[in-house]
Amino acid sequence: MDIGQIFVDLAKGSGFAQLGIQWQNAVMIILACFFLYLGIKKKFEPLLLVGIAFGILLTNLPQASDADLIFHPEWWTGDEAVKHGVNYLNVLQHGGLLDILYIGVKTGVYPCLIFIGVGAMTDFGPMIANPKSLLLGAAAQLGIFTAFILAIVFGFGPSQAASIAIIGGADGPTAIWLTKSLAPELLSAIAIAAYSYMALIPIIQPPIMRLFTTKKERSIKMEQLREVTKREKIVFPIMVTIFCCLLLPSVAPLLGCLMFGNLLKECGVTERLSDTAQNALMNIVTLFLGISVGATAQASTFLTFDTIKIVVLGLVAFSLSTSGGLLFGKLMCWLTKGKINPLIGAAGVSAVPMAARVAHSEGLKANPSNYLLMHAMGPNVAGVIGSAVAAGILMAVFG
Amino acid sequence: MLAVVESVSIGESFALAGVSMSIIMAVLASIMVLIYLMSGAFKLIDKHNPALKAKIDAFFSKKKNNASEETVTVQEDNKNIATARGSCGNIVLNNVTDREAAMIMAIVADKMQTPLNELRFKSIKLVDDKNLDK
Repeated sequence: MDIGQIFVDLAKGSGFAQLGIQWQNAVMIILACFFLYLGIKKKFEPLLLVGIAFGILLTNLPQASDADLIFHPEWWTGDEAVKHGVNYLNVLQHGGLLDILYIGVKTGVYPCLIFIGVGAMTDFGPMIANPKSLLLGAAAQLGIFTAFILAIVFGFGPSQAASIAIIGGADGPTAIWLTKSLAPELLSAIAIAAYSYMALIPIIQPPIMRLFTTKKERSIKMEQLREVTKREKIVFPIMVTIFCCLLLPSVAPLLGCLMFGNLLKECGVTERLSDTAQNALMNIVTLFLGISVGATAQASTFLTFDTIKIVVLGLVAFSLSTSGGLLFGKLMCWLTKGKINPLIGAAGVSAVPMAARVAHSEGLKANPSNYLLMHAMGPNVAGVIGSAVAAGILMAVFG
Repeated sequence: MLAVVESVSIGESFALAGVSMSIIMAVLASIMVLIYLMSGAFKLIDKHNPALKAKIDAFFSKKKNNASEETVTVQEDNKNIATARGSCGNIVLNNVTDREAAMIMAIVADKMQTPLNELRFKSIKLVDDKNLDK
């Protein structure tokens, strides 16, 4: 027995040896550590970014043999999978841990479950009290379609362009739901861009707000919202589900789950379910979603020029969505003779409640007695509906 | 079912973006109209059938009242309980649940930029808008 040879074989089979050959994996590991730093130290959407970063770390640690792999991207986005569909029996029999968890992403189950939790945490009261805020939520989807045009100009295919454009909706689960069907090969880049921009809202939005509005407009105080009755809150999710799902059946998974979660919260007889949807379910799904989306970020698909283009287009989409909301807010301000503060239009991007908080704090800076939070929550939750409808339209056209 | 679009020219992308944006605007505007109709319908019902309104209000406020009653009971029970070390004493809650009171205290502390344990709250009362008008 050659002891020396055993050591040589062990060294050759180790991940360290593979790291020397596959330098791209080393870059991805450094990138994962950077995302972990952003999540933990800078608190950029830590609940998801930490999971995504750890998924990137796990999937890019080189393995000597195929049997040791924790995730097999070729099973999901390879030519065979594209032609004949995913072989779920193979995944269940031979898949690694992250392959199993990824089933929830591929089938679109996780984003829908997250929407149940979001619905259970959302109060549609401010929107019902001021239904005009729905128009602001619609206007703030402008960035999605402008980014779609730009993505086509940049040379992306229509399905890829649609997936990139949805970043402008500032809604992580919606972006994942659409991308897993239209462009699964871009999933990690799009998910990371979407969540990063959601975390960066307090940095991205204020300069745009100041650019499009005057101090006088930002100082506008809005009238107190009327009280919304309990029965209005109960009827609302049922009514919206019936109307929207009949009109656009492709929005049913997202909007249906959002409204179901909200009904659990409002109906008053399912408190246990509402509590589970808001806490336990949300936490478990976030855990699985983050780590399995991160696993798709393999060096071969992530370290490309396309990723840089996606990051740039995502920023453009997000900024244009904010601008669209603000411009429509200005229009409504003019039409109502100064009764609407245009800042609440910027909250039309669906990052709840961060965008509303930013609008509120900008209003406070302009006028220390100006409390816009509840007014901004209307367009904010309308934005969630708006981005779900936008995703439904793109799915109907390209899915 | 729509036919799947496999290629899009730049001109078509403009048209598609315009149509999609119009659909979103139309869908959300329709929801807005539905909300106005719903609120209007409820107002009409309340106006023409006050008995039904009272019944519905009683049904929905049942839960809230129960919570308020619980709050009062807790306060009465607390009278005989010794306060914790460092505590400023008791607080009187009028039609406010413990949960609401905790949130109000946290918001006040945050706005004043003062630690919560350095503030003393004597009472928190729910002010009814109707009473303010009077």
